[in-house]
Amino acid sequence: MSWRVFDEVAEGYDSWYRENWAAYESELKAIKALGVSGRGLEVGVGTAAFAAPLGIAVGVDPSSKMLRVAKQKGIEVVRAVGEALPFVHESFDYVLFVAALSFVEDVDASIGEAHRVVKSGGCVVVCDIEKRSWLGREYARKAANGHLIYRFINLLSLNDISVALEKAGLRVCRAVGTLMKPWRELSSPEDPRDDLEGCGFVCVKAVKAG
Amino acid sequence: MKYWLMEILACPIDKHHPLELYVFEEREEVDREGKPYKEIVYGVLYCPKCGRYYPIDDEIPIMLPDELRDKKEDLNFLRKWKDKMPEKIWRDGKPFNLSKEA
Repeated sequence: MSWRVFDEVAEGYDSWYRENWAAYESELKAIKALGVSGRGLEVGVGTAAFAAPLGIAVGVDPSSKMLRVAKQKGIEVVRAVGEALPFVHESFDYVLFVAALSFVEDVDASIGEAHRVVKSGGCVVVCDIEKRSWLGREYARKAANGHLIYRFINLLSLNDISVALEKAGLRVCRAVGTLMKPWRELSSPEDPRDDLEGCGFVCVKAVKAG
Repeated sequence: MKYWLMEILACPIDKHHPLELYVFEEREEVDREGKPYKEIVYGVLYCPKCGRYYPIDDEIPIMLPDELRDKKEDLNFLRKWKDKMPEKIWRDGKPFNLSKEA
């Protein structure tokens, strides 16, 4: 029941983004580079740190305390899990996961549900820490040391993400990466790269056939 | 919860749509462009296909699968709003109901 920990950390969760603004802005730039538009759903919306600046309409999360914060930012929120989305088929132009697929109980069921609720011709975008990158190794160390949140993380490689998307019937069309170096060394946001080698954070966009 | 969400909400279990909505309390709000809209503060959503109900608690609909629902919280919610919802929800609603208290 990993999500319960997010109730404990909801208050003050956004301070990470303020303290590490260059990393956060780099991640936002990478997501924006994939050019999604229309009515969006974010799964694992948390405090809407990404949903709010991206103009996403609806967010789901199992943590009620995180959702309180998201709601205050003007996002329509529903307490729900990615594996059982409470939406009609083909309700959204895109579905986004930001550092969320690595926390769900069932990756395939969650991608399957995202595929179901997205319109034909729409897309599913998965952004996460790359398991084999420098950042993935750092998070694995934190997890091994019993970090409050990361002990629940199930890190995914770029290949794991692509395979899960393709298995659900989605077609991967573009991927970008960012965070080439530890964010404490970042003085300004990085531009997203098409060459994913060495990137700590990756974003994969997959289209649902029309 | 805003009313427009009803257009896309479906039962998370059997995906039935539309769901029935019973509003207990709402409030008027004004959006950033100055247009008025209504926010549902307390209410309940009901799936006529499987008989599950989903509380709207302090503006947030709770639409979790059965195994993640909190029985105590659900029963307290039903007790609190019993008089404002149809009997089929508080008496027979799934997964937890007040049939023993009827």
